[in-house]
Amino acid sequence: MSSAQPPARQLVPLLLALVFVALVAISHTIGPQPDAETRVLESACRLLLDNTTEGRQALVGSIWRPPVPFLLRLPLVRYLADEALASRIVSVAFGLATLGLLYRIGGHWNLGRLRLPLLGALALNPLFVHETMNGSSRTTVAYLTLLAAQGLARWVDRRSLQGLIYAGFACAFMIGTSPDLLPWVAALQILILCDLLMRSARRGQREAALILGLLPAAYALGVWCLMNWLILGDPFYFVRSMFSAESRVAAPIALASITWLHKLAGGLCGLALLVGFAKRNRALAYVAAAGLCLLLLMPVMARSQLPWDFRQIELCLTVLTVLAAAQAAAAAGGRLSIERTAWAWAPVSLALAISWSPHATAHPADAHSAAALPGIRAHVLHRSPYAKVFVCGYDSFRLLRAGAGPLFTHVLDFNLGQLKNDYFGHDLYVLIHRPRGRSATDSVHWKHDRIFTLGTDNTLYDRDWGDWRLFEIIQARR
Amino acid sequence: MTVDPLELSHRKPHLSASVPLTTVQKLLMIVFSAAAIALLITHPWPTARAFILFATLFYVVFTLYKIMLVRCSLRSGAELHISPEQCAALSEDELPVYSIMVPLYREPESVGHLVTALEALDYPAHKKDVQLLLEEDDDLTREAVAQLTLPAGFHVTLVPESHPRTKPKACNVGLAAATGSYLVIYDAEDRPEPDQLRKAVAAFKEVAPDVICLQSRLNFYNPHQNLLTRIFAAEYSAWFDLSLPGLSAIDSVIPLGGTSNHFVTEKLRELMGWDAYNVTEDCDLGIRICRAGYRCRMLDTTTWEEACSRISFWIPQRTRWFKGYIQTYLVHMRNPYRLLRDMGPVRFLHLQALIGGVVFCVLINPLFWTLVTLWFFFRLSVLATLFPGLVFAAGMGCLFLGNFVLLYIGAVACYRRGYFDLVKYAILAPVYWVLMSYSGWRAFLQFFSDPFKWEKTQHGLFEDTPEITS
Repeated sequence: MSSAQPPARQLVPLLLALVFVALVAISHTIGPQPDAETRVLESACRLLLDNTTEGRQALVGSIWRPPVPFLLRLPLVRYLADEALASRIVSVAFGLATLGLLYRIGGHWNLGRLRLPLLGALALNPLFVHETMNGSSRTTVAYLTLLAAQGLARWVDRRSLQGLIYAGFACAFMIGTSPDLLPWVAALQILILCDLLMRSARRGQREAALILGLLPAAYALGVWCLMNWLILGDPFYFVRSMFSAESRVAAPIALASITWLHKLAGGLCGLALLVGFAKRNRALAYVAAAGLCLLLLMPVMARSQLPWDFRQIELCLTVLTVLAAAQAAAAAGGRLSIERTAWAWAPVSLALAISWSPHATAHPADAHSAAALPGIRAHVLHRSPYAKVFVCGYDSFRLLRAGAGPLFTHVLDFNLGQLKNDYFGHDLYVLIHRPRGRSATDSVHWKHDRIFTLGTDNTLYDRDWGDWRLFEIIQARR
Repeated sequence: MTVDPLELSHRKPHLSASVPLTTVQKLLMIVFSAAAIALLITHPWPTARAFILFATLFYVVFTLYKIMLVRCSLRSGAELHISPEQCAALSEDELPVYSIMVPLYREPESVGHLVTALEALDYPAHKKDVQLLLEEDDDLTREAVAQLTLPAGFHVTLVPESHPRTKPKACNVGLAAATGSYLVIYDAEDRPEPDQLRKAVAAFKEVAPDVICLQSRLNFYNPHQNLLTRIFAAEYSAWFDLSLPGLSAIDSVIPLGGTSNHFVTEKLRELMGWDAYNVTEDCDLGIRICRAGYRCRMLDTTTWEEACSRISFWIPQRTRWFKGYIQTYLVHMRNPYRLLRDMGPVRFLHLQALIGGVVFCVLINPLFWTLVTLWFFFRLSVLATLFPGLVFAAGMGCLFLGNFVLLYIGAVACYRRGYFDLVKYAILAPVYWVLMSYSGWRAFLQFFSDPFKWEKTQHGLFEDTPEITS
């Protein structure tokens, strides 16, 4: 059988490849500053490629720095020396994949040309564009969110096993990509459970569907625990920070983060939910409910005072709103009816709203960290030629981008006694970042409560460099 | 008609497993083994690292390949679907004589059920050409058949006692005597769906003339008998309901299953039937069909078999299958260039993954399980040097994601098949993989010690044989 594709269609992959390369080139040359986390990810990847313990600890050691973003960048970091290029490739790829998936979904739902405003609502959305170009992992999560919600829609609509599988695996990868969507993943699983309970099913079918839907996510969590046990000796090491007072106090998130922007998205989702109920369209109702769940979880998450990435949640909420609008447009009758057209154009208002929102400004990257390094080096070497500085936490990857060198050492699993034994005879120092945002979740802070402000019994305050504070470790004289 | 059940090995010895290893293959094997040993002695770490890199890459590709097949199996048209209306629309005049061959050996207990099942096939009795292929010296089965009054269209064909005593040799004897335009093979314990022959006829009318074989799906009527049959059913469902339809969807080479292969008789004769020396003659025939420029497709109908319910019988059965895969792979790889030319590069790669890949996988799995165990429980730092950077990440991906995907595919297959209660058992597949690797190694060793040994699977352990309906 010959593939009788029209010539224009055969050019689509080539065209997409060109767009991809062009976007990567643009983002790398004139694009926004790389996200602060990007530096952490890429530096940790280099350590992982060097087969170091710190690299492996970084891969699995914190729920706030989940492993999938590391693994996605790893093969690229190996071959691309330019800073943030690997991350930009990943973020552009997932940004395009999100648009591509939305386009395909629109095709499955017979939206025809109405797909264009829906795509525009994302492609012209400053938030989405910024995250696509700055090398962050947020577009990866956006893609997974879309995949999971679409899977849910297919499952509830047509009992599509494929939909359930996609939803299950998207949830699993979301757990490994962003902790910020963990509560939403749980909500999605509850929605699947609700759907199963409300439907008639053959004997054992509910249990089987539940296993298929839940297993990937449960397995992902199980593997994470196992890796923590193997690498760090504690299966729950990666979640310890969630129960630390230091992480909570320092979290800059408040209810004020929930703006009218979210309310607009919530309004659209709420309307879509009502339409879904009115039309007895299960897929629409569930997709809209998934969007609303995310919105409703935001105040709960904010109250927990953990360092959730609300920018990530905003992006996912935008994606879910666009999907709900697409589903509502599909549910509306008539090829170009007013209702259908209105739904297709509704998410564009979100893009416009975000354009005017102060939230659209970039998160500043930590430009001062690296600048502090020569000062610290000079200071410490002036004190002693046998000095050793332990740079604590994931921020150490941002500070020591080009590798630790003989003077500085990354420390993730901070153990003072062990360090003293390992480096007996050296003058030892600890460099700690101010516990702010996700820096507060580093193990040094939950292992040694208020170490930044008070130090410990064995440390002596030395000096500050911006947000970095140097302590000398007190030892018996040589 | 003169019967030469060993025709293939006489006329086209290069396509037969009558010589398990050619001289060139033996030489290559010796040179390769010697080089590997020499390298391991002189440069142990780089050699081990190179092997681990190769194996890890293989695992990654193999897992992605499996996922691709499952995705392809979900395409519409992956299988030929024939509706009951299409079957009913076939008038009796349109139905050709259909040859049904059932090789039997020491299976007196199965004969009664078999005759009932074949009689139940919805096909005019006078157009059924049923041959019970009995070995000349198998008195027990011959006696059991003699005690039955065989329905019209049934007859016994005796297979003369000679070397090798294999099922394909018996089939070749039957092929020579077959009178049907189409031909199908069933095993003694098989229970085909009653409309299967009609579906095959309708399907053959629908497909292109180069499709000369239709493979029905196989599954078990005793999946709930014990844990082994449950996991076996999950594996069979994954293979026949997902992997093979996936291959069919992309028009690739299909390693045929042991029974319920429907052939165009004339074309099968043209291919000289089965290789009497190959212990997985079905798989080999699938590849020869592809090499000859013909195609196989999957047919949406099921033949129910009895799952082997005891490990002591399961292991010899699996050993035979793996040994047959080794035979088949080595036969067709005698001249890789010719194989590549016959099949084309894509199907050539499929064959590497489907036959060579499966055997390689079961053989190297124990090594990696050992490494993982050593790492889990003893944290041997030396292992870290075997898995540098990217290899470590890829290895972790295979260990945690690849293995999960493979067992999840089994669970998905159970769900699709409607075996909802087996979904949870599919998760226990890793236990089953240990048995597979044991059988794989047993097959590997047996290939050198006794390449033509046919370890017969004991059936009839499940008493409660159900009635099969469409």
